[in-house]
Formats: sequence, C-alpha cells, structure tokens
Amino acid sequence: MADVDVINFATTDCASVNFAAVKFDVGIIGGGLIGCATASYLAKAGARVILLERGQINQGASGQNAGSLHFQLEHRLIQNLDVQQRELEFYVGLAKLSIEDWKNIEVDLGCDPQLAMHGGLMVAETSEQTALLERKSRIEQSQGLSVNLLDGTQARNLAPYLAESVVAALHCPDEGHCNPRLLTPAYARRASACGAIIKAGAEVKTIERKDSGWRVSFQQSGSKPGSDAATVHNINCDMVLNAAGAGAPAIAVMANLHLPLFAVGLTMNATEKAAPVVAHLIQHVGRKLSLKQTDDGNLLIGGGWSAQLRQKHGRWSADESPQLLLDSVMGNLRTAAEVVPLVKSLRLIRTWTGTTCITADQLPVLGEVAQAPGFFVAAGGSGFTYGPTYARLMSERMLTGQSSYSLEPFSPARFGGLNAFMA
Amino acid sequence: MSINPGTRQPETMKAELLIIGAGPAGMAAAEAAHGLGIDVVVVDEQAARGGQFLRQPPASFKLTDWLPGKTYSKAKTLLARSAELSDVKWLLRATVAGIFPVNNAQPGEARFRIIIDTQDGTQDWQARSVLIAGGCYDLPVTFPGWTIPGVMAAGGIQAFIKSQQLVPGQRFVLAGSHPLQLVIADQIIQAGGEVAAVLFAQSQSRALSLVRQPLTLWRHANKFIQMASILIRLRKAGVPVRFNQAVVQANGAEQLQSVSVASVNRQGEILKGASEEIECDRLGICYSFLSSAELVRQVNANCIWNARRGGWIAQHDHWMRSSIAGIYVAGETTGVAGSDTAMVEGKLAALGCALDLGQLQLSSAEQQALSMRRDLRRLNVFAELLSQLSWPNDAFFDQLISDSSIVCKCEELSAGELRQMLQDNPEISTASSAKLLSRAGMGLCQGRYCHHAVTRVVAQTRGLEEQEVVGFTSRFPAKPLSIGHLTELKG
Amino acid sequence: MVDEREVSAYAGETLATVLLAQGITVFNRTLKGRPRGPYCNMGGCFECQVPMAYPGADTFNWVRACMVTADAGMKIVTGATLSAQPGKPTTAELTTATPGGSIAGKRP
Repeated sequence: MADVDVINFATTDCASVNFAAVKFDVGIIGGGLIGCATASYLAKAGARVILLERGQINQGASGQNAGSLHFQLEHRLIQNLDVQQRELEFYVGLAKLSIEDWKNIEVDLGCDPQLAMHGGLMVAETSEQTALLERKSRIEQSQGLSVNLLDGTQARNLAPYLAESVVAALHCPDEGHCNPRLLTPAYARRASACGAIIKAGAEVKTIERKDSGWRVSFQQSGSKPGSDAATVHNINCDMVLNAAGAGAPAIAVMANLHLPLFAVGLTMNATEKAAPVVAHLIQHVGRKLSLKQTDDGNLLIGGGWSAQLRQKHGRWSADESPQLLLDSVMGNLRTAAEVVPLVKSLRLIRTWTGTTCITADQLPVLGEVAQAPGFFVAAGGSGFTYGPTYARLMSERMLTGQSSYSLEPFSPARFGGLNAFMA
Repeated sequence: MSINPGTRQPETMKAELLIIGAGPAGMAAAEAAHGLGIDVVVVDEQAARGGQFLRQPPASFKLTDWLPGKTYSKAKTLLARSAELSDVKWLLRATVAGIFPVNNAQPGEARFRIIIDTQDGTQDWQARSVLIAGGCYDLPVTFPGWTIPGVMAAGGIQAFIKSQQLVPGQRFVLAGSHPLQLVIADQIIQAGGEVAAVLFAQSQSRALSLVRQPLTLWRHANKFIQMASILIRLRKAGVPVRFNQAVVQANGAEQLQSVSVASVNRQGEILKGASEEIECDRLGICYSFLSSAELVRQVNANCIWNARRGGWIAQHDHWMRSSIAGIYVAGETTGVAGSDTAMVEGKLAALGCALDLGQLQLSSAEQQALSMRRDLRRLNVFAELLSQLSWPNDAFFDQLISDSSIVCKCEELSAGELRQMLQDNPEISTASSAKLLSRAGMGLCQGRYCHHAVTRVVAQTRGLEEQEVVGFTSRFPAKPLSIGHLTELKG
Repeated sequence: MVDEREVSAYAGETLATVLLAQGITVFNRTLKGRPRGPYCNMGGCFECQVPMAYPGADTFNWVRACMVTADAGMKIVTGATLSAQPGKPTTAELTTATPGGSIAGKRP
C-alpha cells in the first residue's frame, strides 16, 4: 500500500486502500467550504487529513450561496442589537481578520476565485432604517471596521444605479463578492496537493470514541446493501471535525451529541448577463436584499428569502433541495427592482434553492465539544464570508490547542447544558 | 378564438385543464376534453397552433398547397377542427415559466398555479389539472464549428420552408442519422433550393432496415410509399444520398463555407484520415430529438433518461397520468414517437383527466380507451424500431466532441476546457456538479443545447453510464423571463 | 429598419426570415466576438437574438428573431454584441453593425 501522504483518490476506488492501517490526525466530515479549507490549512501544516463528503464537493450551501462578502453586520444580525451587543462586537472583530484573509486568498490558493472587493453599500429607504445604520455603524467602528455613512446623493454618486428612494447607505469599502462555485473546489485541490485525502461519495455511518481518539466508518453513498461498493471502511483519527453544514446535527447524533443548528431553506435568483454596471455588493438594512454583479456579468439577487424545506417522516429533510416558493422569488425581485431599477430590464434565467443552517443566536458554532474531547464543530453563521477565517482559526486550534483569535464566544460550550446529560 | 392577453381579467385566469403545447398532442387533448365538457385553456409559445409538426404559416400568407401529402393530413384536419372549438381558449405567443402546486387544495379547487409570460406581461393562472405536451426539439450535436452562422438544426430549416415559405439559404448539406432529413431535403428541392448531399452516419442497410420487417411494412405502408417517392425525387434532382458518412467539422469564419465529411465504419467509428470537403452555405443537423422536459422535471414528476428515445422521458400510467396527481403528459414528452402517437396520447390524457375530474364514468372511459391503447401499442412498436435504426449509438457523439468544439455555446466553453476541469477536479462525476464549476448550462438556453454533450463528456471521462451522470436541475423559470413583467404581476 | 437601412418584409414574417432573406446570417456576436445566427428556429436556442425597438420607441430589447413577427417601423440591429448595456445596445454597436452581401433566400 502506497504512502498515504501522496495518494490522491479518484471518485470510486476505495478497495485498494487499507484505511484502518493509517492513523489520521483529523477526520473531516463535510466537503463544503469550511471542510475543504480546514483540510487545506491542516494538510499544509503537515497534518494527516481525510475528508469525507457524502455527495459531491461543494454540493451544499457552500456552492449555492450568493457569494457575498458582507463584513458589516447583516440585516439578520441586528434584529437584537440590545441583547447581543457583546457578541456582535466580537463578530465584527472577526470581520477585520477575514478581510485580510480574503486579500491573501489568491496567493494562498494559487488561483483566482473571481474575488472582487470593490465595496459594499447597505442601503436605507426610511429614516428609521437610517437610524439603524447609524447604530450599527457605531458598533462596527468601535471594532475598527472601516464603514462610513453616506446620504442618498453621495450613495448615488458612488453607485448611480441606485434608486431615488435610497436615502442613506453605509459604505464598507472592503466588501464584495467571490465565486462560491470556484472557491471550495480550489481549496479541495489545494488540500489534495498538500497530501490530504478528499473523498466524495462517502457517507459516514458511525462515529465512536476509540482509545484516545475517534473511529469513523463510512460507505459509498447510495450503494446497494450486499454489493462490493457497500463495504464499510473504518478510519481512525485523533480528532474529528464536524463541518457538515445543514447535516451537522445529524453527524453530531452519531457521536451522541446535541448540536442546536437548524436548517434553513433559502432562495437565489440569477439574471442574464449584462454589461458591467453594478460594482458593489448591495444590501438593505431594513428589507431582505442582497444584490451583486458577478465577473461574468450576471446579477445575483438574494438576501434571505425563504424556500420551503421538505419534510420526511415529520422532520425537516436536509437531504433534498428545498422547494422554491414563487412568493419568495416575486418578493425578492420586487425588492431588488425598487432599489436597483435596471433589474427590470433584465431577464431572470435561473433560480435555485439551498439549505444552510443557523443557531438560535445567529452566531456560528466553532470549537471543541467539552463532553467529547477531540470532537470539533465548525458550522453556521456567515459560513461563506468567514469560511476561510473559520478554517484557518480552527486548524490552529486543532493543531496547537489555541487559535490566534479567540473563538470563545462561538464555542459549543454555550450550548454545553444540552450535552450535560449525554453519555 | 384567441384571447388578447391584455384584456383578460385576473379572476378569469382559471381553467379546469390547462394544456401546455398546441401541437398534435395538445390539440387532440383539447378537442377530446372539450367534447367531455371540460373547461380547457391551451398555451403555446408559437404564434399559431399546430406545434413544430405543422408550423403554420402566418395568417397573412395566402397558400394554395401547404404541406401536401398524407403525413400531415390527419394533423391538418385536427388543426382545422380545433379552430372550431368555440369554448377552448388558445393562449398563443405565451410561454409557461413555471408550475407551482397549490398547498392544501380542496376538492374542486385549483391544484396548480401556472406562471405564463406573454408579450404584454406575466399572467398568473390557476388550474385543476395540467397536461404537459410541450413536444421536442432537434438534438443539438456538438462538433467543431457547429455554432457558425449557417449551421442549423434540420428541423429549423424545415420550419423556414413550412411556415415562412422561405428557403433559408442557397446550397444545403443535410447530415445526421434520422430519415426525416430525406423529407427535409425533398422539401428544399421542391421549394427551389439546392441540396449538395444528404449524409447518414449509419449504413444503408441499417437505415432502411425497416423495409425488411414485412408486418411493419404492411401496417405503415403509407410511410414507405412516401419515402420511396422522396428517394426517387432526390435521385432525379441529382442529390447524393450517402451512408456511413458524418460531418465532423463545419468551416467558415463569419458564415459557413464548407463542411468536412469523414467515413464511419459499421461499428460506428469515425475513421481518421483524409476527410472530404463539401462546399455549402447551410448545414442541417438531423440525428435525433430531445423532449422538452423542463416543466415535467420542474414539478418533479418521475422521468427516466433514455437518449435514444428523447432524453428525459416522463413516466406515466395507462391514463397518461404523471407521477404527480393532476399532471398529465402526452406526445413527445413521453418518448419521441411522432405525431400519430401524440394525437392518440392527447386523447387518452383527456380521458384520464375527465375521469379524475369526475366528468366520466370508468366504464365509459375504459371502453373508449381500449382502441386508443391498442393503437398506441402498434404505434410505439414503429416508433421504437424507427428510433433504433436512426440512432447511431450513445458513444458515437463522443467522437464529434473534439477538444476545440464548443460544448456550451452560451458560455462559450470548449470541450477541451470542460475535460481539463474534470481532470483537475477528480471528485466531480455528475453533469450537475460539472455545470457548477464550468458554467456549462448557465446561459440563456438553460442547458437545452448542451446538457446532452456535457453528459457524454462526463460519462466518457469518468467511465460511467449516462444515467449515473445526467441531470441539470430544472427550475423556474423554464424559459428566461422578463423581471419587469414578473414584478408587475399582481398578487 | 435593419441597421439604419429600410427593408421590406412580407406581412407576418418573423424577423429571422426577414434577415435571412436579406442575406444576413450574423445576427449577433458573443462576448468573445464570435458570430452567431439562427440554429433551432423555434425559440429554444437563443442564438438568433437581435436588439429590437418597437415602432416609435427607442429602447432596444434583445428578442429572439425567430419568434417575433416583423412589424412596420420596427428597428433591428444585427451583429451587436450580446449583453450590451441593459436595455440598450451602445451607439457604437448601432453604427458599426453592417448587413451581409447578396440575398440568399429564395421565395417559391
């Protein structure tokens, strides 16, 4: 059997590898951005990593999201400004780190994931909304994030495509977008090149503690019971990283843990290509809207409009694509057309839905589960914008026991009570 | 009676049965459903009824002898009768963008919300039942130069002649594997055009193998007599009809100048080496057809993939019900089988719908369905035979998809670029994930003109079966939809 | 009107027919400059798009030439580059687009 560090597996062949003979440092579950990026950082640092993804790499929310790099506090995060001020301050601190990580990404990855950081504008159409912008900008500025409030005229000077109804906008010069379809596969290739094993079509079946580490078993996804493909493979690893996004709670169950992440179905719309007109990431402080123009010319319109999660046996099914709701498409496009009128002259060519996950407090879960030493979680909370940063910090945490920026406010310990009674 | 979309009130945008497609299947279903007292609306993107099969000329053209010949007579009489259906509403120049199930629909209420785009705006319709009979389109075949102006789907050339009474070029080459290209060559000649060659990829004996099936010959004598007359006319006009030959490249900078032709052996292998050049300004590609399955897949009705029979084939029961309650399928949507089959399936679907709406007793429905199902069995035998003799083989097309050929014309992605992406990302093994990374299928045609080629490239590169690879997700809108129109929709 | 030239058409013809009858085969250009013309002639492939303004209007919208019936006073541009300014091809495109050579179509 060849040395694990240089093997790069093709899609289907597991038969020739004796997984049990190798002790991995980290077994990562989930082939989305956080999983692949963490694999990349770990492997680069010399760790032995295996990543298991039950579908195709980047198939989930990582590949379906809007690709926004929104460093200022989003609409969904400021619904509870009074209660969450401290956490939000911390979150903004993370934004500053993330801006630097994104600026280095092309060098880091060795390819161009169509990154654009030409600035973002969060708009307001009423005086109440403008007041909200002012309030949140104080939190952002207190953490050193560069934001400045513009009035309607100034906003339109910068972005002439904005409607007259825009009365104010918070400008964040580092915001922008990146192509989610390119980013994660680039990390996966990088991880492979550094010796990580990236295995798609591998469905995790069991997760158990073994000796001082963990044993994870997996099977080829969709294989028929009794067939060769259905052979169960076991891997032994010191640490497990649950980066399975909307599937993370189900993975946690295998390790006998509660993980309070909840699936959310969202909608995205794409227009035909247009000449480059919209240079900024557009968001709205009081309505659900995100709008950007990609390098290719399409306008991507989203902002948190819901798609209907499917149900199976009385539970939300994170396995199937959520159902598109026409009302969401209409609401989303109407909002976009009111803020950026040129949208009406374009044709809608594509919609899609995806499933992401959120916690009750809207913040990510990042860290080790105290009741299960060696079991780490990284999921939820702006996983695209902060994905590379989460991955970098998690890899530091897993390798050295500490991360260069404290992840304490996002630790699973804040839900620790839930797992106090789990064996 | 045509409805001017601009004057229709929102409250009246309701139907018991909304039929998508006014071709042979749709017209037959409309006639039958109307006869059973069902309130019917038929929607079609074209300006006139008849579908692609008939492609009616504009009303302003005065023609004495449109579409002569027995092939079209049944459908033409159906077309004439459909004009007399006073209570059927025909919504023409209207495109169905999406079908949305209504949650918790009560008995007797609309089960579906259908978004339809017209030149004047988007309309929001409600229907208790929907029949999807959207027909098919010429299989797009990828080879170097296929996007040069002058290269067209053979059916597209035919439509210029049938409908617009225009011979859309000077010197035509027809290439493919489907006998329809003989019909088209004949139509070109009769309209005064010049055909330099008709090329079949398969051998002559295979192309004409139906002749060796006496029972089929007997049952479908009309078709054979027609084909024989066509061959005679083509010979008289000096049109070479050649077998074991395929166009492997279209040449020309701004416009088609010539095609390169290579020989194909009996195993379907295109032989390398010297190819012959034929000068021409128009090339008609005529291999096969793909069913327009976007709406069927948008509603998640069960389909199976069979490239030879039209790609995505909607599954149905003996009443033409799809796997979604209230949605029926008929015509090429259930497998490419021609207009005669489509007309019978349309009638059967109308019966099924009437039965389900409680307008018809089971015994009466069964009685009427008996002969229809018998006809369908017979017709499907012929359709199956025809598809076998006219389909090269699944992997034949791989040979045409050279690295330099453009596999996604909308995004201008070459096959070489797609293959390189697959090589760099060994974990990608489906058309859908290949689309995500390469952008294939993300243009205005929404993957209609590349999904087959992308499937072939991924299947061949990964050593997988098409069925394991195939499938771009089909979503609203089924065709590009004006956002200006959509946002002005009330409600 | 095609590319600033007046052109006559039979009532009821599609724009694609009018253009082909005029000998024009390059209907538009891709972003990489490749010439494109009608392929399917049934509204599915989007290869035949041209910017078109209705009679009396000056806003051009991309339409499928094979699906739109020619109307007196309609303005069409051929050879324009796809995804130009939303709603309006640039002035440069309007003046540089030129129709092709001799008439190729035949009427029976």
